[in-house]
Amino acid sequence: MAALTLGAVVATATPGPWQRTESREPCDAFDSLRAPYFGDLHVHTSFSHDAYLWVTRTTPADAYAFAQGAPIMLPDRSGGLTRAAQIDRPLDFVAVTDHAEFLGEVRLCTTPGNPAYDDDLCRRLRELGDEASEDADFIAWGYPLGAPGALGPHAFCSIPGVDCAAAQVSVWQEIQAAAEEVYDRTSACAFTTFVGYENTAAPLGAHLHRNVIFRNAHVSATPASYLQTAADGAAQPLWGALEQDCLGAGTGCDALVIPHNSNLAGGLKWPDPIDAADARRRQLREPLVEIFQHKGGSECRFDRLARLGVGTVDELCAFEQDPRALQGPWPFPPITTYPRRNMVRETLKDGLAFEQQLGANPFRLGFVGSTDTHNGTSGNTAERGWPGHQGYADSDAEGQLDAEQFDAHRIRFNPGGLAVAWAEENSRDAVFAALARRETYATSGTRPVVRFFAGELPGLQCGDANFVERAYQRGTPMGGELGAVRGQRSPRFAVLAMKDPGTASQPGADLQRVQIVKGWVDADGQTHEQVFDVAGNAENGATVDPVTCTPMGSGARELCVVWRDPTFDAAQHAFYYARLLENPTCRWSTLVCKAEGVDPFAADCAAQAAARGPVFADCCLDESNDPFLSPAVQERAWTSPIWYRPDGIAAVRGAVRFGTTPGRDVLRLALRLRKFPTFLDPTRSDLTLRVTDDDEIFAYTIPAGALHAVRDARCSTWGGEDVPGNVAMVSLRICPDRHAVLKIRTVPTDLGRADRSDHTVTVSLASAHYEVTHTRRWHARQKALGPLKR
Amino acid sequence: MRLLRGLVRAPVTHFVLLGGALFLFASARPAAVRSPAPDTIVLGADDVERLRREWAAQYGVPPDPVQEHRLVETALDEEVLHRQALALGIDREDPLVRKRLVQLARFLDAGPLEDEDELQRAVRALGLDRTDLIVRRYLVQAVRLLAAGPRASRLPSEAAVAAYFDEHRGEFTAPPRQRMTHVYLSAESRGAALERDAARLLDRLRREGITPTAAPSLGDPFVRGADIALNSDAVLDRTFGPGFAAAVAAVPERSWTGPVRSAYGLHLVWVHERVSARVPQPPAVLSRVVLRLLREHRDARTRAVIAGLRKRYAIRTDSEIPGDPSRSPSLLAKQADAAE
Repeated sequence: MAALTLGAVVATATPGPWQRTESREPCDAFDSLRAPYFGDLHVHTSFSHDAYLWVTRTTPADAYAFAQGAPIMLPDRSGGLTRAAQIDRPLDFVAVTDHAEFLGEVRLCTTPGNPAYDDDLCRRLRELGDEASEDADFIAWGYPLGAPGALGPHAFCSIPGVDCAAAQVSVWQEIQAAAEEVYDRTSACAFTTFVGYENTAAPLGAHLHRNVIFRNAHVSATPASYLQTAADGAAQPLWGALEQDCLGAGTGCDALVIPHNSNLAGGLKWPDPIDAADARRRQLREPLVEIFQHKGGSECRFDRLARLGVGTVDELCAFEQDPRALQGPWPFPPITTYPRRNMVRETLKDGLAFEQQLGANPFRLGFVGSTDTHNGTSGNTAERGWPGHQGYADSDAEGQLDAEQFDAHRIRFNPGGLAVAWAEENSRDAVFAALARRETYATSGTRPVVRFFAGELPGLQCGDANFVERAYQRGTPMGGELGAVRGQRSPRFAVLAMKDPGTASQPGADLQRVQIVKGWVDADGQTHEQVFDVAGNAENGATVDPVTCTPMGSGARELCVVWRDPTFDAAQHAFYYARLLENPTCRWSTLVCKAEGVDPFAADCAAQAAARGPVFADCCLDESNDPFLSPAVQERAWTSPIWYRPDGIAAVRGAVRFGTTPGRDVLRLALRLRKFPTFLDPTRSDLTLRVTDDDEIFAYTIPAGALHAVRDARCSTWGGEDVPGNVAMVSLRICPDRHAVLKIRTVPTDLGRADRSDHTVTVSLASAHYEVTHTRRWHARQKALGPLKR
Repeated sequence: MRLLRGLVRAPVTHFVLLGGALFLFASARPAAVRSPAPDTIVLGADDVERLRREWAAQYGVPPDPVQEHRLVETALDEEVLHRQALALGIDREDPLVRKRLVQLARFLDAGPLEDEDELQRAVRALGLDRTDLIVRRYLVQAVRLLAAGPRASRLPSEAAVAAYFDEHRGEFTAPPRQRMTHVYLSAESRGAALERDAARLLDRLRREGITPTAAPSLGDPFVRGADIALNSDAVLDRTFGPGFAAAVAAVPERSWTGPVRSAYGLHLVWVHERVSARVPQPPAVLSRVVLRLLREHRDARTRAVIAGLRKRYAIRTDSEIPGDPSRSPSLLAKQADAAE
């Protein structure tokens, strides 16, 4: 071993603005300005009943090994494990999320000797069947999850001597063990795993699935499957199970819920909140949505042939759309009756309306992508050489283009996307914290790198070498809350994007352009949207060579812009997210069809397809005859939105001044709010102020009625100098136009938990379901820590 | 080494103990002793050639000697398992096999027979139960599952864990890494002036002795920042583009060098330090080592069972099996004699 001392290399744990909840070596590669980590949060192995039916025989260990670069064996059409697959670039983090339902049953059915083994349903699971039986087997195994009144374990669980529940616990232990076995707790931080599972609610084909991701090794005793949460797929029982078994268990357990495939949910993925408390609860439990994956994109929808969209005229919303609104062999709905809340952008807009109405936004959704592979091939998103995601069923060209399946026209599926988290280091705490604060973006499978900020950002320019640091000091990153502005002028939005560098054999595509998608709600509660081109060039003429599929024409290696919203209205709740588009590249289906002698670009494609076989008819779908499919696509990335709240914090001034001796620190803060909520009356509601980084630096609740009202000429002031606790003075001034200033000064007290280095600090103000935050990188001087002054 | 003290408290413990206690494997069917004379397995030149061709079709190149040896060993294992399945009578009793054979019979249009038993017998008479690939794979899988045996319910000893860690240090070792600061010059914003700007800036950095803290502000903003903490070559290539790590590998430490080309432009690089491959401290890898060890024990048990089954057979080939001199025909005959 090198004499080079470990002491020099292993630093003491540097603070991120998150708790360290596990014992491990601190990461050598720690970057307080954060780095992009690429992962897949949706992976199935043979532990999932549907994957097993598709003859997947990989285990969680195999899925993790694949993510790190090891080859994996996949079944061919006859069920033999003869195909090898390997990822082109390793992932940084992965969660294996097998279906919680039937975990035990699958294990019992595949273990000879136990009484369930010879049950007919078990035989059907193991049977290397033919196409006729495939649908029937899926229905036999899956119908409890979809048929009303049928929810429950399979019948063989009642055979004496068969204990499905115990088997489920045993398999859940193995899932945890597999994640632990490869999670790198050394300072190299090469690979992170998360324990997780999928709750697979599917009443009558409505795809109400939700994944659960745990922060660390303290997890629920059993996964909460749909058999347990039931309620026709409503999410509340799942949250309740997590609150009870994990969040409130006092074990250090933490988890979040990520819904996916709202595009197939029949409009039911995100029902209206029951009340303000329910809205707040959903915001806390479901900070993210898997907006892109194998079974299509859920951002937005536009039908090219009808020239109509779902609440949009954005033609780029034709990208990777599944024509159905529900899972199952139902006819495709026309765009005019397509359920709005199948699409995330519509849901985000509705969230603003609820925030305006209730004071809490239930649909505050950040974005991640993932694969939903049922092969155990985590992160296998390359369009070229894609081996499918459904075992033997899509193991060859015929399978991948099959249009007569129960499930779909398979050509509509795609290799899936990736989740990218901006985190200080590649550890569970750091990456989970990034997921929880929504500092994430989704890609459609490639690896461009993109930053997005909003805020005052005074003087920020694209040429600034310390662009990123300045952006964190004077703005909020993707996923965050912009708060309000003091005047009427639009805040500034900054995007810095760099292309996927690619590999030696497969260079990344150039970037075409950056857009900012804005949604807002007006005073009448009507929602609106607009898409702005902010950088790059939509008319760069980039295309693909129809013969070789080589990209033609050039684009940008990087794009940068600092932008103001020309339509900004300071009184309107709004969200903004950045969408990055690459130059066109050939879709996986184009490469497969061409290899089979059917060229989607050829004028006589139809004749070629007819000659090759009926299953190849879908090869000829393109802009002229299909509402959504294109032989060449523009891969893209979507950053989590940044939310503007007129009732949020417009500015924070002040600082922590550290005393010469411990325990003699003083915090002075002034918070400016633009529109103090009308439902908040300091005489009747508690108001809690918190200042947090990785710890809670300071927290104070002003009890209802603790402040004395003083009316001056115009505004109402509540003040108090004899308030309880370690506060010397607190005052709240609310003017008729609802502008408000909250000032607080502590007595000399212990604020030593505030780290004395430049790092991110969050100030929040909360009352019941209302909470507004202000997050910035604070600056540490010799005796003080605070946000940068103007 | 006080590894196991930590081990008992480690999360991994409850995986193993509960897993073993909760889920007991019911007794397997006893292996039937069929006949005293060992069977013979013949591996012909045709068989080996077929394996070579299948590999080449999959990978585009013929297998090298090591790969070919493994192919042959796998084929022999499968044959042994298949015969064991037959010896256990799984083929006769299993309903799945019946169903598959009936399927075959109907496909082959076995005449006026309608009764499933009759159909089955007809197909067996044709020997299709032995040659059908799907039946064969199913039988091999069933026996392999039996061979894996019950899960462990005891933790390995401290000595075993320590020995395993020593033996497999390489797998837990962090690769060589470097820490660097770079000044980025963007091809996009500098265009034709890129090379000239880089040369000028490099000259200035050296001439004026500008520190790595001050230097990045003289360049362009990079989305990952200017300070790249300890990272391996693989991570550097993923961040900057293929070939970047190789270009930086020979660069002297603590001085400005470059320009190094990336997918985005040119970089002037200051390598702070290089850290050679490092073996981690045992506590950080404890649970990984134990879990790996347990999994290997399970795999070893499976292999031992298969090896035990193999001993009952004599392997005969009419050509040398590559990569394994012990498999030459003359030696095989000796083995067969010894096994009896």
